[in-house]
Amino acid sequence: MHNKKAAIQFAWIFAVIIGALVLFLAFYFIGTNVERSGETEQTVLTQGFDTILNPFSYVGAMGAAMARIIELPKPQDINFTCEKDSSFGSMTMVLSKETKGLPKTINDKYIFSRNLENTKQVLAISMPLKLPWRVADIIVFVPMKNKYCIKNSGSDLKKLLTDLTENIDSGRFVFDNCDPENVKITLDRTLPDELQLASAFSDPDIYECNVIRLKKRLGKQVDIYNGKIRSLIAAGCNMNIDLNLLEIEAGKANKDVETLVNLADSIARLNKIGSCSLF
Amino acid sequence: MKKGQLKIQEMAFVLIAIVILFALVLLFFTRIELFKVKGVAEQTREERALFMLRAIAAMPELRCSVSTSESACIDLDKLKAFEELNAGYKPFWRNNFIQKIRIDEVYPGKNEYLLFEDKLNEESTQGYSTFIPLCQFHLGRTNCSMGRITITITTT
Repeated sequence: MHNKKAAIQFAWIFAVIIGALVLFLAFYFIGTNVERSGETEQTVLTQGFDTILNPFSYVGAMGAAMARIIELPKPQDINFTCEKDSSFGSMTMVLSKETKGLPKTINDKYIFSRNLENTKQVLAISMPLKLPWRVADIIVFVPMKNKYCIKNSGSDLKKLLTDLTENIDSGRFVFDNCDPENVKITLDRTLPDELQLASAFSDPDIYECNVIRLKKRLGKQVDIYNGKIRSLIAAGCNMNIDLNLLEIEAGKANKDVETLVNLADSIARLNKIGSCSLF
Repeated sequence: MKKGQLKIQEMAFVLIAIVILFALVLLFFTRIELFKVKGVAEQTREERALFMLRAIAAMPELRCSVSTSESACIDLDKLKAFEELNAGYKPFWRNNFIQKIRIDEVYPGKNEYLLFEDKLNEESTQGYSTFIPLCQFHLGRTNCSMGRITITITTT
């Protein structure tokens, strides 16, 4: 009788221990799977966001600037880092909320932005940067939590921003009669219009890194245009454009572009009066 | 005592069977999730390849531009210069699935310009292509031929 009672008690203890073990393993695997699926979801979202930005990186080929509101399925933190030491440099973008996705490396886009917190919508403006030919299309992210009072803007940039946002986000940029609540932006008029906007809405490190990346790409393009100059000369064109100074200036690893802009302007003037157009 | 021992053994076998069943269900579930992720990856590669067809045609390094105005063609002089330099652009395109980018002159000439090649798994590949004019602008004259951009990607 005593042995029977002990056996029954042992059976119950054994069952409870095994049951607890099974439950523990089940909850452990479910928890791991939920975390992994969250990471997968964020990674897919980051990839999708990069895909949405693809048209922005070649819209300049049509000669136009473009502005679109990009909306995410749910609010996200968007973080950017930039690397400028490799031959073209690259950016890294990662979206996160409760879980962090895998970072996405971007080689072919130049995104000027600050790190964005809890963002569901962002205004993306894409413009071709010409120095003197189209080097690449830059993308500027404008957070939509505020309206912006733009000071010291040139008439061309004012018209461009007004036209771009007229139908999609009218009133985002205010140039006169600003409200005290508007975020005040003072533009640096020594820069080209595109870089004025990029500088205003970008983290300083991201701005400098992307400018250096753009200069590196310009340097590579100079080699291609030098090849084209040789072809045009062989075809009988009288080419008086020298790109050496442009190449030297593009090779400087800093964010200064004033000399570059002046060189680009003089090359553009020579291109207009030449017998054959280089670009 | 013997009956008690038998009952314990019986319970042990039942519990082991339940654990094995749960493991099989988990394995099945993981396979389905992996299959879904592979599908998303495949779709992403295809979208990326199609995007790159448009992006290459629009690259400042290749696109026609005359009197600062761009047009929807590839500048043959720039393309020839680009092919000589293509090693310099490998980092720009290197990722884990693009194998080859090529522009062929299909009519009237027959020339091939290799922009990028990265030998990966050669067994499972897929090509995407689009046609685009290849033009030269010399001394006010424009000469164009028909070209085709082809991108080859590896598939899973």
